[in-house]
Amino acid sequence: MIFNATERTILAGLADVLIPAGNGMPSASEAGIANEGLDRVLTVRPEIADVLESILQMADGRGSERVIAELQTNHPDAFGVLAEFAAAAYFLNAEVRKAIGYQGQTPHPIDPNPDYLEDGLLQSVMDRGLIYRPTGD
Amino acid sequence: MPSTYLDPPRDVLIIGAGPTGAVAAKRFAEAGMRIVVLEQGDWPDYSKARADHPDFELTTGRNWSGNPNRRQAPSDYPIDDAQSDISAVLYNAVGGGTVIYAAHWQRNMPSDFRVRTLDGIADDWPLTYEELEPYYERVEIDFGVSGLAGDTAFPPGKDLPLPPAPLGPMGRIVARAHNRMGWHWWPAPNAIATRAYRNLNACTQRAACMWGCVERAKGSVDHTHWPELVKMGVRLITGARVRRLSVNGQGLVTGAVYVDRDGIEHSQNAAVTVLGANGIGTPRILLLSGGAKFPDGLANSSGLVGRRLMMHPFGTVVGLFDENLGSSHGVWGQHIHSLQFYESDPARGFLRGAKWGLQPTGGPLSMTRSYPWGDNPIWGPSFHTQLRKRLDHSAMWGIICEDLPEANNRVILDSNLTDSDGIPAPKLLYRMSENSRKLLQFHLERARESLEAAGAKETVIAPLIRETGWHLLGTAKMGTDPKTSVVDAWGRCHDVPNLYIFDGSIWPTSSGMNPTATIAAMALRCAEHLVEERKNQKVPG
Ligand SMILES: Cc1cc2nc3c(=O)[nH]c(=O)nc-3n(C[C@H](O)[C@H](O)[C@H](O)COP(=O)(O)OP(=O)(O)OC[C@H]3O[C@@H](n4cnc5c(N)ncnc54)[C@H](O)[C@@H]3O)c2cc1C
Repeated sequence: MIFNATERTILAGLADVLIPAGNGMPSASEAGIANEGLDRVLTVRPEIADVLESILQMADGRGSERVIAELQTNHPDAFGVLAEFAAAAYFLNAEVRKAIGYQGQTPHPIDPNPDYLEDGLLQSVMDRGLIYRPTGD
Repeated sequence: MPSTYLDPPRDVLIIGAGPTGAVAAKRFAEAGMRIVVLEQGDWPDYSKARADHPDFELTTGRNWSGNPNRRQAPSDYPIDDAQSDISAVLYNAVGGGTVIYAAHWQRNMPSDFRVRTLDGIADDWPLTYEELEPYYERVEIDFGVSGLAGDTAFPPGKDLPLPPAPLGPMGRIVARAHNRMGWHWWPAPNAIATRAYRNLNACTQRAACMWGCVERAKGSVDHTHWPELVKMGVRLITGARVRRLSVNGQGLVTGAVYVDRDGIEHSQNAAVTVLGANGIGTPRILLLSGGAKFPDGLANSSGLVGRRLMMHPFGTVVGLFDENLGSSHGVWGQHIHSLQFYESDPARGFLRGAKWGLQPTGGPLSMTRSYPWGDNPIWGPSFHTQLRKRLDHSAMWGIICEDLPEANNRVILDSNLTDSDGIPAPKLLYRMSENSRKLLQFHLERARESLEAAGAKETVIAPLIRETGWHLLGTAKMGTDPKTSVVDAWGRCHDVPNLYIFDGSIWPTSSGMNPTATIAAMALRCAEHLVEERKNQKVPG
């Protein structure tokens, strides 16, 4: 499905209710979720398109806030898909990722120095002794 | 063209290439037996593992879902779960469930083998912790298990092959709280390579263990076992779905009939057949194999095939902390575990207990989802503050509750639903018992206290979700009496002396632990016994 400019504007409006601007962060539409974001999401989750299309039909010119409230109350599954799309597209924006301090599931090689010995952490457990019920076999 | 191809006969036919099949195949191959393995799935496709891509979180549910009804891959069979409180999750591939498991590697505790004796309910196992211990030690070497000896919840034992994963800030903050409260914790055991080990690479803590490990660092048997076994000459046939077992006039199993991906039927004969198809797949095959002679299913004179299904109700509590805990990363996997409330205390109003594993919470998209966050709103004006509160600032206890065996919790054959080969699908009848509900409630409350004591400013008890039936146990009970059990203490079917079941189906009780450590150790113990006793093994003439 190729969403046209009008449809993208409506989706952006709905997403802005979920993710408005604030705290120095852009809104969903400012982060381009209905443009490049939508295309990137649909590339990996094409099945979302059908649900977004039905949401567009339901929106039918009504205010975004009302549509969101109705989805939340009467169509929680569709709401879940819209929310997943909005948030996923938002976090695919490189600026947003930078601003929230998340660079992806980047490799963090394991430090070979054990951190379980710090502050006598384990000694405290050992001092409390064995806690299992022996079975005597 | 013959309607059924006859594949060359073997000494042992194993059905299922998960950890049960892998561990058994290894032991048989070492003993020089000729082995064939039938697996309905394919080798996992790690090109779909996306942890090193920005769209990772978006793709997890699509590429690595544990629910076969959602995946609907050619390797999958549907499961009718409309009459079950919990949906089964599993993975049908070379590697079985270990391809997507979280790799929490938990031995059972000694009391798990003595439930009847100690708590007066359910059943004892026909073996003890001490008898199984050497087999735990051996499989732990093969799976590349990391962890630390000396856990006070277990009898003293040997070192594990690899050092434990870091506790991380998350593990340390909770560990300190438990020390203040006098509650148990220990660096958690995981089948995750914390250093390069055999053909596994060192983990890089991307918190992606359940959605395709891009690093080849997880001890899943498609890495730890099958490549080597194939080199040793084990014949592993993928895309091979077993329709039924074949039985001769003497009541011995002669092998299995399977359908390949082109829909062609094959007959695979073997002297001995071993089932490793898990707590749903195994009873399904037995129920399909009765024929006119055994209308209630093969090996089912006890009537227990498919009954006593146990799936471990699962609970989650998340804590939100001021401190940056780095909890978008780490093993997933568990950082620490606690067995403080594992043993029975009748004063609590229920029997048995649960294991807790402390886990990361993931990246930003995971902070917005209904699981584990429930109805706690993130959307709207508070989005940015909520996100900052959660991302890297949350820690999560996952709670595995022991489920007691109940005859009416069961796997049966569905009268309508079939898989893509027209083979009847399994149907689950499962209700969470009163004991399990009370147990779960108690543990959720204690886990909340744990996180609060660690300094959590808020805690969220996750809504119970259906898709948590990843431990499938009990549906072909092990025991000494053929009237009240399906297999003996070595996995041999009482009714069919050359048919064996090695997977979690044979568990008399479920413990409150992630089961793969014990499934693997049991498979090794049973396989070893078969090898030792092979001179006396009855086989078809
Ligand atoms: C999402 C998830 C997370 C998990 N996390 C953990 C964890 O952290 N720790 C833990 O201990 N356990 C965990 N588990 C459970 C673990 O995966 C299982 O306990 C384990 O894989 C069981 O091993 P198995 O070999 O008996 O069965 P499986 O691994 O299920 O393998 C059975 C195999 O048999 C094949 N099969 C079935 N029927 C047929 C047929 N008719 N014909 C041909 N082939 C057939 C299947 O395709 C499958 O590959 C998890 C499971 C899931 C799904």
